Amino acid sequence: MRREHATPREGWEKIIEGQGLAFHRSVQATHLPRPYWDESVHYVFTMEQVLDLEAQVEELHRMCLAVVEHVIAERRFADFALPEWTWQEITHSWERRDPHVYGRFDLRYDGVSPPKLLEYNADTPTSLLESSVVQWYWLQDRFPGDDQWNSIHERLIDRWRELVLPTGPTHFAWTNMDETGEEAMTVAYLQETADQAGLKTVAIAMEDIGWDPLNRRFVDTGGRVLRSAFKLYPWEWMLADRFGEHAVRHAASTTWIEPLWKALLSNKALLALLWELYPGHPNLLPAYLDGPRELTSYIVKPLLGREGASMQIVSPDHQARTEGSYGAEGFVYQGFEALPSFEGQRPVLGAWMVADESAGLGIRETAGLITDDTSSFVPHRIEL
Amino acid sequence: MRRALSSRSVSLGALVALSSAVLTGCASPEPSPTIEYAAPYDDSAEDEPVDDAEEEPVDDAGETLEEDDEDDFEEVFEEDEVVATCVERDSEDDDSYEVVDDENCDGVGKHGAYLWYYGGTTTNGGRISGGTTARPRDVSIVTEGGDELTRSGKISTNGFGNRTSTGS
Repeated sequence: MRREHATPREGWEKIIEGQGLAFHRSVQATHLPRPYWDESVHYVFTMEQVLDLEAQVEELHRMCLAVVEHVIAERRFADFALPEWTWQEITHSWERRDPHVYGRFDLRYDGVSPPKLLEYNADTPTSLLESSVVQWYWLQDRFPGDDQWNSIHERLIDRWRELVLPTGPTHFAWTNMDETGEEAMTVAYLQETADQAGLKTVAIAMEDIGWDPLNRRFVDTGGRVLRSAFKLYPWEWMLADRFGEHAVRHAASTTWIEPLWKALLSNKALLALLWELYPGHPNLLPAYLDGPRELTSYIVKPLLGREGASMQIVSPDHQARTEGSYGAEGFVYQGFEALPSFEGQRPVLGAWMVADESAGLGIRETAGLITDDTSSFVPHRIEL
Repeated sequence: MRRALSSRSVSLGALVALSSAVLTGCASPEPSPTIEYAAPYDDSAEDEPVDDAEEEPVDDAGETLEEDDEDDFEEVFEEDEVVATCVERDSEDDDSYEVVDDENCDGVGKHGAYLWYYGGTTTNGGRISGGTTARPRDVSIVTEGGDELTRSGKISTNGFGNRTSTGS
């Protein structure tokens, strides 16, 4: 694994906008020294490294599913700060195997030691289009003879095709409070993959979803029933919303994607449960819910937090803290290993899962120790 | 043996249109893009819209109303808006009903213990009379709580959302 430099394509801004990546301008804060999409650098992997990573990511995913099974069997929901009224329905959602589509593991990886799981964005991951489409075209333009860890697009289409969904259109919901356009873009891309799989789809804002109590079902603004709905809106927020109870109690009338059982994977209590079930596993960092225990270098993460907010690093060598208002539900204390430095930049590998298979990679870089919403996306290639 | 990790022909139609929409939206000082999606799905054969303007009036048992009934509620409802109140079906006595919490009428069916009562006035004893159980037409029906009651029931919105960032 190495970091290389390359001259950006002439007119790269127009190129990536033509591929749908529009929000890069709206997240480009004036104080940031580099663009969100930064093709002046990229990472190079060997095929052997990528095949190893793939195998380890799929093992992590299987371990995560085992945690879900364990939590449900042992009724460990309280460790996830989930309200008690949801427990039974989460169990039903798992027992029904409500269908899931995608997720993204965030990994610490330096090219030498085993990748370490930082967290699993299993409910509402973004940076999908960059990973799936934009860096793919970059590869074709710049290194057409090389390969890329990237079958995300085809796998998404295949996944939509194989899902057995209720009749009627599948709704794709984003929240209209998103000001950057990133979430609308992610939802639109996923909707397009579903369209290409032959599904009938309808876009809707979460705020426009209506509840029809007579028939106990959700409806859109045209009165159409939401029989299946992809939502880029986290379950923990749905549960806290006024309609959350309807979504949970009448789960049989709307198939939500991602499903309710994924509330157990997108919650960082997962990290502690993984360590409990697989202590010493080479892809895990020690993690606890009740405090740092024996750890002298650790990072405190809110159970339900986003974009690296509300985190604190406690270490003899490093001190850092990010702003944020997350943490009301509690924290997890995870062993801290600083992200590796490549020319002063620290990459986090976002390893994509589609259904239960590894599907691709997206890399975000930041100069700091915590990857937040100011990080830049950089492409990668596999040298052949 | 080399494993094919990638091969595809990516076609992006609507997304490119979306890209333009986002760019346009984000050019304003307060970016809040309005997204227009290409080719919305027309599923008119799938689910019945809640708009019932063209339907015959029916009562809560799903029966088409007789002419006498229509006369009744034309008399009763001269306003544009009628308040629906949830009542207990078996409490009927001389065209008056016992009022119960509106939540009881969530999911009410033709054989349910509760039904909607349109118009009327309540008495101190918690009963209501002077209205009708026949659903009126060409008027807006609302509950005391302000929810609109459509053909398929009371549709409430704004139950999700009003957050900031969601992605991770």
